[in-house]
Amino acid sequence: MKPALYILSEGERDELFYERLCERLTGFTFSRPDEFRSRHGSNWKSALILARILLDRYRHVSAPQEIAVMIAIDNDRAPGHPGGRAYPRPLPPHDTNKEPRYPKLQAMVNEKLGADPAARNVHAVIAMPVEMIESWLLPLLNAAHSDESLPPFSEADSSIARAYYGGNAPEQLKDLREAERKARKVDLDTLFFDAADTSDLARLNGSKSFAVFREHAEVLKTVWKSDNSN
Amino acid sequence: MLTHVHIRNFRSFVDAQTTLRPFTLVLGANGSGKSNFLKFFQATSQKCNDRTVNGQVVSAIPVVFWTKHLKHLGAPFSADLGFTGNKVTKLAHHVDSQNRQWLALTQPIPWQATQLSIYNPSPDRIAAEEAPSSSPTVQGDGSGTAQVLDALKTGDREDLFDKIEDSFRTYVPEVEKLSLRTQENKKQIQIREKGLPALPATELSEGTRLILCLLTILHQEKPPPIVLLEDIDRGLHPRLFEYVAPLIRRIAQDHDINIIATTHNPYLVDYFREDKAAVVLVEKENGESRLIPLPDRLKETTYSDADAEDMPLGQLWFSGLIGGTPRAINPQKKPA
Repeated sequence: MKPALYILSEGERDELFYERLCERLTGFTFSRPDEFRSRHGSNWKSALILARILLDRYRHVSAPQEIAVMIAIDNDRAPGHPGGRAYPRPLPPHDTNKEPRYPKLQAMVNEKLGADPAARNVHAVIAMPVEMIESWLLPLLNAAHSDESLPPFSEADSSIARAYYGGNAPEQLKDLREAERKARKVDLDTLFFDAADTSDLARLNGSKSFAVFREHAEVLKTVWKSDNSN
Repeated sequence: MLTHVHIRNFRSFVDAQTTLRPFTLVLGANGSGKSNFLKFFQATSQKCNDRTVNGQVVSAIPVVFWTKHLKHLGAPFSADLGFTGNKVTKLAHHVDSQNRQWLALTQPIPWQATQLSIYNPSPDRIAAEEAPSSSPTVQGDGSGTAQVLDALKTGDREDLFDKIEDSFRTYVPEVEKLSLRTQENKKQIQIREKGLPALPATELSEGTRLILCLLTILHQEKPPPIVLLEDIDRGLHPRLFEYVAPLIRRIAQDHDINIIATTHNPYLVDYFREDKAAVVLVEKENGESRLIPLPDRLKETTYSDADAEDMPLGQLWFSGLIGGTPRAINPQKKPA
């Protein structure tokens, strides 16, 4: 039987991207009988509560299970992520005053499942890119996009990006993604899935937030004995 | 008022039951059986005949209005309807010596022979010109709205017309006056907006027409004992749910009727946080629809610990953590 991977994400595109990355990092293929969604654009606290309820749903097992819960949430420039980045100029108070996301989520996971990842009956994988999913997508698509070179914001014409750059902002994460999509003449679903499916994952070696994700995923390899690797 | 229903072998329901509130909101994925749930009540409202069962004359509904579950065509169908005061009406399947089939009612039900409509109004029908009727009612497709408004306005229930107009102005503040115009002996709804001449309903937005139809359905002089509304959120701005949800609840309570509505809108679900028992989830598994009162499903979660501002009820439903959502559209989906 395939191990079960339950993913809480904002949509199917994200879900397939993270699932495929997890498959490649672990060598497992997963069954995914249910889909869980946080509403696109909803606040981080809602996502945290949904993650808590999702873990509660699966954690009450008395013996180790081949079940993992993946929680996929963007960091969105919140402080406190162990894979956080320093930018050439300080982020605005709007961002620096945000509640740290990763530490709070990790604490909740530890509280629900236990602090030792290898000793858990049900496992958790946190996919929290710094700053958003495009931060992992872009290096996979194009080696010219190194983690250190990526901008912090979503779109250049957003007010927050314009304020940060003091006027016209350079292309931001979604702008760069769109340029890659146009260059390849594919739809977004294909762009994301192909990046996760075929790109060299070593291109994300410079991403500390991806390293955290990798660490979580690779726990599954050490604790599960399934022989259904792909 | 109906408080409980148990359905056996009707359309996609094999054996399903749930509690009901004055205003019940039905949630579920497309194709899960929400409409079949409404059709169940419609089927129970068909014209009855008298039949003799075990020497007693009972009201009976011809089974021509009933469709069995495709996997249980040989099995009987039946239902229990529970009302306030622990009164229960049982609907039992009978076949007589001439092989005629019917559903016998053990007790009368308030909507017996009323031929309930499932309201799924068409904006065009709402705006159409209509000849006056001696017994006007709003039909499922929204036709009759002008007739009912005209009857209220010109009859002795102008108070109800005024309530409709007041509520309409609340929800669509641009409206100054609601009236009906006569064209060749036909009536058509017209609206005067502030600073503008009166416009026929055909010039109104579809959403505005749907709001007016909904208000007319709810304020009819004799609303049906059960009002069945398909996709109640259609055409309504999400902000209006804050007012519409309590209004519908109040009307149901005032008239001691049931209003059962389907929706796909999480913003409307948000307004049921204080009345979770009024939400029913419909889920289909292996071709069979099930009814799950929301409180039953919430027992499996820690949702009650969540701050309402951080975790709206509609968000929880949308997440899939309490069910009533589409299954994986295609779990194996990978772009080509």
